[in-house]
Amino acid sequence: MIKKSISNCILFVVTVCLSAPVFAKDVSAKVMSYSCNTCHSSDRPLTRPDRMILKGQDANKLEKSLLDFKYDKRFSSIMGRISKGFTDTELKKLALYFSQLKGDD
Amino acid sequence: MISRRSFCKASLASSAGLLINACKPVNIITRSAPDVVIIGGGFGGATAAKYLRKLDSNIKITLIEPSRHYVSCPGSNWVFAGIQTIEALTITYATLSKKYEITFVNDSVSAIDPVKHSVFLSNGHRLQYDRLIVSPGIDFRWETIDGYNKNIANSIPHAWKAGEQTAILNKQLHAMPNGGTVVICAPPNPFRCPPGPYERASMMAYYLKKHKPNSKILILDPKSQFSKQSLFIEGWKKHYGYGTDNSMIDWVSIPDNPVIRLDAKNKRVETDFGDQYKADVLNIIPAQKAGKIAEKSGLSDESGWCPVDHQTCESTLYPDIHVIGDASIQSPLPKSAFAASSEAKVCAFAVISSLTNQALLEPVWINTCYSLITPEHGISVAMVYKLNKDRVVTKVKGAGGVTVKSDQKALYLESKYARHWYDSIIKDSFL
Repeated sequence: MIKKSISNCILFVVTVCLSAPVFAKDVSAKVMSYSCNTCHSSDRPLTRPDRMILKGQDANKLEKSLLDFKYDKRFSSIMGRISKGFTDTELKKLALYFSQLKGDD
Repeated sequence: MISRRSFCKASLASSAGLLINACKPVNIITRSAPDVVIIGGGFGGATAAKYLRKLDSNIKITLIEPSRHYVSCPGSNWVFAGIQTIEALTITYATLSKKYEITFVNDSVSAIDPVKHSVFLSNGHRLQYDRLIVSPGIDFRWETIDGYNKNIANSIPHAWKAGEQTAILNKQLHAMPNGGTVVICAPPNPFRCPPGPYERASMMAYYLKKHKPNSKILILDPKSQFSKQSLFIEGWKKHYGYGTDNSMIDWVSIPDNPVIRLDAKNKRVETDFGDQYKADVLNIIPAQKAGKIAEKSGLSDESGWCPVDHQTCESTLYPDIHVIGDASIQSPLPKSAFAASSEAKVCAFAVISSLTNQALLEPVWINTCYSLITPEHGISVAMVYKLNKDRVVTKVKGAGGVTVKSDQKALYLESKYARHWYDSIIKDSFL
């Protein structure tokens, strides 16, 4: 009984710690994604429209693209300048977020 | 009507902190969905309306705008090069209103009562709000140029609000004989669209080079430098002979000797020291301040612009009123459509967080300003912004910057992206 209470206590402490706000100032994926929409909303095809549509993309591929832009491993006119404004963790979260969006989200 | 915030404040004042949790249930029981009223249907107001709805299906959203259509300022310089039309720049509010369940009120606002949370329309009706978002754009400081005013702008256009004004200026450009002089009087900082006057000169030069090659464009500038200056100068050298005797564009920087007088009849402007410039086509872009309703409601300060808390866009002068877009002070964010859209999204998150008693989210802003030097030569400046430790919007170190100008592929791509960006921001804000 006592053992169970202790383990419950530990569980409680762990849960509280995990759900407490993290003080790192990372931006949430949803907030970031809204910024992306300004340039990435058009349905009108560009030279390679697949490059412009972010919703439903493979998370790993999208993360790699963003990191490659950020670290100048891939040519870009604009994305290098933008992706340098985000941490690697933010870009990872952003890629995962977009991969899970569908249709009119 | 008592707003939820004032109810909470009153409860707290009378009964100490234990009543904090009582605010939420009381709100749910006694109030219907909160009212968010938005004044102004430009990029700021329209984006705020749409993204509020994306974040909350319950709140009531009302957009007050005196025009039935919006004519986009971004892209309006392209009309002078003949690669865009005013019709194509014109957007209806019907889709925004229907698709996102936004009540569109086609009227102007005569007054705001920040104490009673009321907005008065010109037709005499009154609207109540829980949160008010004011996105009034700019107004002009006509008094800075003696002899210039709103009526004279019908013949000597500013064309700094797109539509009729753009059409007047374009018509004059087309009517000008070969060998004529266009004078563009650029405004002092801060103003809407920092690269705009220089893109305008570029687009006019593109037209003149083709149709009236002996003509000149003179930019009279009260500033000693301007946005994307080295990229514009490179482009002008490449396409318009800049720096040679035959240059189509001359940039005359006169910070100590600005244009202060207009002789409208003779299309002549005069500087502080009495230098005179005669134009065949005269385009005066006057000094600017926040849109009229901001000044009238006491939302702007002595600078003429509206101070706000950057994380929420809430006015520092009146609670529950948020100011976004060109009218607000959010430097180093520029006064651009992209920045207005970014601010609108930050504001939408903050308003919903506040109405639902959630913690504020960490914001981020992006701005990219594209300009065309020719239809196939684009340039841009970009930046990402976050809050600094003092909770003030600030540039992220290492991010952003201007086009790498030596890169031909980038210049061509940027011209394509500029036009793609236009399609995209219109869809993101209005459709």
